[in-house]
Amino acid sequence: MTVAVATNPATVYQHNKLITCILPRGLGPSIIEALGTDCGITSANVVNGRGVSERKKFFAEEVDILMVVVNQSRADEVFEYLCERAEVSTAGGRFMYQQELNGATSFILPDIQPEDSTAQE
Amino acid sequence: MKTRELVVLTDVMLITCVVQRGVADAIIKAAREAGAQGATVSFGKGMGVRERLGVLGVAVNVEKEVINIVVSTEQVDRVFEKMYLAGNLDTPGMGIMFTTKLEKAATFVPQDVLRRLADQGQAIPAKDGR
Repeated sequence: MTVAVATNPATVYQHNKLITCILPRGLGPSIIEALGTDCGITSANVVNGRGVSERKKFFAEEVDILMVVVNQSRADEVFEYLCERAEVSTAGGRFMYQQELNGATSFILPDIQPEDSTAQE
Repeated sequence: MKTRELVVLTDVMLITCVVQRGVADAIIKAAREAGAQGATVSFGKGMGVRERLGVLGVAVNVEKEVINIVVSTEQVDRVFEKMYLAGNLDTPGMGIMFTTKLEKAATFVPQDVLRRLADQGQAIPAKDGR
C-alpha cells in the first residue's frame, strides 16, 4: 500500500537522527540550555517519567527523558557531547540512544517584534 | 589533551508499548523476567476511533502509560512476546506495542564487565579510534 504524503517536500528534511537521553530528574532543562549555548541547538524536549532498573530493584526512580533531533552530519558530535555533559558513561542511572528518522521538520521560532517598537504603535 | 573512551552499545532495539494507566508495572515485571535490564515509563493520553469502548463496550481508560525498553537484538523477540502476553495485547482495547531499530546506545558499563567482554572478543573498538 502506498500513501501519498501531502507535505511540501521542502519543509521535510531527511537524514536526521533522534537522540534520546534518560537522565535523573532535574538534569533535563539544564542540558537543553547547555545544548543551546554549546552546540547551537535550540529545539529539544524533556518529558518526565519513571525508570526501573537492575540498579534499584524495588523502587522506581524519577527521570527526565530528553529528546533532540539533529542532522546526520552532527549526530555523532552531539551524541558525544551529551554523553559527556550528562555523564552518561561515568555515572549510574543514565542511558542514551540514537535512532534514524525517516523525515523531520525544523522548528522555527516566529519573528517577534522588539517590545519598544510595538509600544509605539 | 586528555583522551576519553566512549563505550557504545550496538545491535540494540527499542520496544515501545502503550497501555492503559496502571498496567505498565505488570508488563515491566514480565520484561525483566525475560531479560530486560531496565524500563522507562511516561504518561500520555490516548485518542482513537473507539477510544472509549473496549471489548463488550467496557470503557477503556484514555490515560495511557508509554513504556520504553531497550534490549539487545538477540533478546528482542523473547522480551516482546512476554510483554505482549503479560499485557494481554491480543484483547481489543488493551494497547499497542512496536519495536524500532537503534543505531547505538550508551550507558555506564562497569570496568569488569568491559574487561570480560574484551576477553570474549565482543568489545570491538570503533574505527575512528573512539
